[in-house]
Amino acid sequence: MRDDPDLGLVQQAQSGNQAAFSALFRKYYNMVYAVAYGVLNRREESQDVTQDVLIKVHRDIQKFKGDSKFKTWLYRVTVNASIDSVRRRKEAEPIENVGDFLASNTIDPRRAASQAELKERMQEALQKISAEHRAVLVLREWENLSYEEIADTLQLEAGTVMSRIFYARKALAKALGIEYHEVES
Amino acid sequence: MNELNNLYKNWIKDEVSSPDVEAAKEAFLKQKFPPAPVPASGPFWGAPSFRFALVGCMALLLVLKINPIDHATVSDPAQITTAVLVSENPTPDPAADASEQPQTQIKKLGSQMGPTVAYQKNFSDVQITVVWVFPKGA
Repeated sequence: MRDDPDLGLVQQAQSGNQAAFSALFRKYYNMVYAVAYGVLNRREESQDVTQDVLIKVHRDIQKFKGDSKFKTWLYRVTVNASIDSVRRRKEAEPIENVGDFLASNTIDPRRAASQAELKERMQEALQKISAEHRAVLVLREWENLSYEEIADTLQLEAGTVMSRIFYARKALAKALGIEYHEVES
Repeated sequence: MNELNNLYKNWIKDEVSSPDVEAAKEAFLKQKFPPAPVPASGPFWGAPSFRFALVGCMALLLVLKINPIDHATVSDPAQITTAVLVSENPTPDPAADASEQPQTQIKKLGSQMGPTVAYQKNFSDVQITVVWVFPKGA
């Protein structure tokens, strides 16, 4: 079993210890919400998915066999639940070509009237990207996972992860009017 | 790309740290995962301070069993007398008007505990009662 900092709590939870469940979920609630919000971009829907994910984990904790870290498993469950939620509400078709992005939607963020307007533009820009692209973006940019970790979490090839992140960043930068140069940090 | 990263991270950070989100989190956790009940073998019951208190209570019960408190009942008063305290001055002035002095009622009571005397004195609208019990043999 991998070196998992949550191993003790998970084993207690699998034994039915509700206090262990409570500790686990209190620790990871914000993480689950952040990933869900990164994919869904809607507060209420993100809250619903977060609760659904935790309830599912509570119900299916025995299914966690320790093949990966608990956190990795939780990422996977969250991303899958978030993408399912997006599919249910008929999202906009994912862009195939970044060049199709509407130039009229771009603004110079340095001239944005307010931070709120910039946030709104961010939200609009993200809606132009597919849920799958948003998923890898939030895991990379917010959760700081490596390409390999993202690939392991989403059970994708590392090349696919890199490709999705590249296009997601480029699309976002275009929508926000930011110059984009691919320099891996 | 740093600017894009910062914008994105701040966008999510603002959302996650929102009071509404925090409130929803607490409400959900309390509803779905209430605190586990304290088990009998848990840290509370096994705490040294609790054990000490438990031993102390058991010792007290044992002592009381061996040497019970004599619960004496007060029998009916055998005699009630009333006395007027003219003055507290050792050399009272016979010319003073006794009615101006506060009166002290002294009641002698019969008790299995021993001679008992109750002193009652009224001060304006306050009544003070002092009970003296002289245990048997004292």
